[in-house]
Amino acid sequence: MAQARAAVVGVGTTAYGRLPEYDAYDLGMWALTEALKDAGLGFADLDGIIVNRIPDYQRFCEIAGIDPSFVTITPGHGRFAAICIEMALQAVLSGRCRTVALVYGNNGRSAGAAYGGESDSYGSGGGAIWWPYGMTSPGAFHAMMMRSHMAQYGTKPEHLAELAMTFRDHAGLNPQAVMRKPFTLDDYMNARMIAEPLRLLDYCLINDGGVALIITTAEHARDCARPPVHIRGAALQTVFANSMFPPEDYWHGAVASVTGRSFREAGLGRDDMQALMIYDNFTPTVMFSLEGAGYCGRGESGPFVAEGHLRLGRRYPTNTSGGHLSESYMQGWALNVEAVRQLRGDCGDRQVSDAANVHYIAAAPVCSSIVYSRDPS
Amino acid sequence: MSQPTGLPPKPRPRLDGPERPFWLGLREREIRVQRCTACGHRRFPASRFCPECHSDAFAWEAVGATGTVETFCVFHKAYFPGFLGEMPYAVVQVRLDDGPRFFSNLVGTRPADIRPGQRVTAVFEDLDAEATVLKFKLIEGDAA
Repeated sequence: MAQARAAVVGVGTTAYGRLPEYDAYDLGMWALTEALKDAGLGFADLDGIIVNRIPDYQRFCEIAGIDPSFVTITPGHGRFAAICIEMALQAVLSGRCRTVALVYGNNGRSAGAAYGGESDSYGSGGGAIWWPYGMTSPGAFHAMMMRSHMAQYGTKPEHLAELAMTFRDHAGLNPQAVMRKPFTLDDYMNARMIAEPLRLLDYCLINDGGVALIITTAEHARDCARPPVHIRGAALQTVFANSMFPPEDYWHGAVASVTGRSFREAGLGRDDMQALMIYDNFTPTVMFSLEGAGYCGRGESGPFVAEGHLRLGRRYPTNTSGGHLSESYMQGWALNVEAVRQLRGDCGDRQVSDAANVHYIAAAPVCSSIVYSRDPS
Repeated sequence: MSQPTGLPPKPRPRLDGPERPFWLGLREREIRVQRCTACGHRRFPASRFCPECHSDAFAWEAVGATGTVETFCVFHKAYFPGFLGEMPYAVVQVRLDDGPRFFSNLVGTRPADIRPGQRVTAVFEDLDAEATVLKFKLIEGDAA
């Protein structure tokens, strides 16, 4: 196995919640300032910047007072967290950039962001053609997938409940999490339906917040303030053909592909992982990710989750921050930060003991897998 | 079908967009989709180029009216106020026997009675003098 050649050297997060006095630029600046401080770097050390969800890269860089040699901006879709990280890897590994900042700012809660109805732009080309039938929202798209999964494999609402309760219990150990109060199976079953079979507690939490990461080469990482967290493997796989409708394989094939490629690059496997960070816009996505990545058999995620394997103290603690369901919907970014914090041992009451490797997975029309490690090889 | 008094209208189909031949076909009780005249692939919604062979040669042609419910979900949240009169309502995903897929609604079946695998046939529902939407109903006596 080759030595890891790139690393995360700084992470920064804002408070999460309702922050009406901050716009997306402010939230990005707040997070970036924290990340640079964390890395022991200054704004002038950045020669690349990738902006996500913040409306205008030029205005953001003007506010930051920086003139990086490389800049780009990406759509505010959660799948883009891993795409941006991949871009940063390519920039530093090619030698075209030395230090790249990834900056995410989301004022969705205060701005009244809605993911269904007339403002819905989810999916291939947006779904306006289906609005006359009342079809709208990413939640409904995932509800359709979950209904298939239930019919095909016998997955039950109780299984989704255990997943949501697990992440909520983790959030209870995370002072930064927005929703920290535990709930019971009855609470879950009695929560209002949104797009059946999904209930309110299957949905992520739209909030305001910002996240930033600083990525550089392994060589430069040694000079930074904190121990670097190495990116040992990363892979992307798009699933765009016929993607106006849910994939019949629940994205299993693409998640298996990215997991396999990133594990081979890392020289690591599932047995080497101490924690998982799984993109949880809705509970079903976690189920599909576990199956695709091979942590359980295809169709077996329900019973697997119900056995408690994703809880802290068990074999694969997952979304130890509470994830999108209970910490805050930071579109993958905060889960990548949580991976870094676990590997640095910064997680306090929710720390996974002896965390050496953490696996980030996102199942979506762009599937992704990233292997983070404490050690470079 | 007019809306109950006091409710805003449901979202209307965009009749003048690239799917215009489809909407016109529904007026004449046909499901017309694009057929690539180079490779035969049928597609909907519309695109100038065929995703299979990339030809821009196509014709809008009628396909058969029967298909199968692949999956569905039931909306308990009224994202569109026009649906407030029929909450909760189900959206089904139907694959026609001839290939193309549609999100739609089942006429005459309660949400609790919908199952993946049910056989369905088209229902052409006139909204007004110009717009017709493609809905479906269960084929009686067909095994689910």
